[in-house]
Amino acid sequence: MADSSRGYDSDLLRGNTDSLLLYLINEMGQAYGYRLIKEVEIRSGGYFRFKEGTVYPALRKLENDGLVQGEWKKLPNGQERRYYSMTDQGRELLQQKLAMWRSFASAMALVMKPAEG
Amino acid sequence: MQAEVATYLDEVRTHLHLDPHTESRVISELYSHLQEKVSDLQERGASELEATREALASFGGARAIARLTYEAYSRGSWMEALISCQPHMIVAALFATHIWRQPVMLGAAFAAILLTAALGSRRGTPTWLYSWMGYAVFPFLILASMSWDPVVRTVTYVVRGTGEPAPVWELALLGALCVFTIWLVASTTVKSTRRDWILASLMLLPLPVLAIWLITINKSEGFVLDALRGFEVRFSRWDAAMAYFSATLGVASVLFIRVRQRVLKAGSIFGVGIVGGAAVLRGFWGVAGVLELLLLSLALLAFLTSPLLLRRVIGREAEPTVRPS
Repeated sequence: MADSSRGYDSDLLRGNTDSLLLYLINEMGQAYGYRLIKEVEIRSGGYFRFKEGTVYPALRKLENDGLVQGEWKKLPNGQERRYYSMTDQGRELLQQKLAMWRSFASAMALVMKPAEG
Repeated sequence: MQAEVATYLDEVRTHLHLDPHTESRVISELYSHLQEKVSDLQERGASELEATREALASFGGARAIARLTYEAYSRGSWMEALISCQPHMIVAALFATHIWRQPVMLGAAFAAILLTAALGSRRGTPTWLYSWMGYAVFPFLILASMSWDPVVRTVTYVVRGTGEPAPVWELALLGALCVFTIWLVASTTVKSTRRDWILASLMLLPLPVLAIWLITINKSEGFVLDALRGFEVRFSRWDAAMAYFSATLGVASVLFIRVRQRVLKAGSIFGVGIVGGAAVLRGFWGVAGVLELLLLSLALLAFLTSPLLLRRVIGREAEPTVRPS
């Protein structure tokens, strides 16, 4: 899913895509696929780049698991767009994932701190 | 932009293998994304052609996107899996308890299967329905197979001049039944294949073994005669084998609904259909050699994969990929 030429293992991002999507949907209230991809790119300073088409299957899986809820909305130009919003179950899981991520990141930083002296 | 995007989305749609309504929704979502991306790139100074090519390149390969999308959509719930395995379990129970010999019970079971299949087809043809559809055509196969006796009697009378020919009205009725049965099986298979050949294979899964069981029973005693005479020891062994086989098909249909990957779905039905079918048919015919079993397995494989060939001939459900806004 991620571009491995950008200096990280693509599996690392693939394993955290769900958390990124859940976090952004929660923060934005309602979001659609393209907006989410742009937001990830902007917030990561262009570091994270998805193969964009892979975001939609990921969103569908979140929807299947009851973590987000999709809704079609008609735009002024007549086109339809699917917006995603959080469910209570999604919010609960996001809190758990955030807590886990913070503990994990702190522990990693403690172990992998530069050698002193 | 339209032509390149439409070609790309057509390729995605070709490999999606979902129901037409879901496919349209998926394609709409992807189209809306690509349109916005192209507009964004054009605003940043790219030409329409450059913008389109960059948008498609950053989107990912059409086949890979279709495969991921299929996997995201193709997994049914446990409830759907449970409903999907019910016809197999009903048939397994009919054999395990020898109730198939009681015409009223047999009729009631198949009436329930037919009714469920009819209701399911009116509710958007969900994936679980294909297990039911396979058994729904079976009562017509039973009736058609019973029609051979008057036909044979009449042919014998015409050729050899012995015996009594069947009345014309009876032959006409049986002819109409046979034509209807062939039409029913063929049209259901074609319709299922147009949606997804693997669903047609799921539908056809129980038919070869059931058809051969029916022919074997009919040749031995006659289906109706045997039912009226009641239990016979010779058929007891076949009942057990058929019960186990049907229950195994039930497990395969649960796997089919629950796994995401297409190759695993195909593996679950082909594995059980071929290995289980060959084992049961070996019991019917007493085939013992490795070569015979191999040929039997190949014949079953050819039958179960026939929808794949059919799909190449008839194509798929055609719908416009890009709906202009």
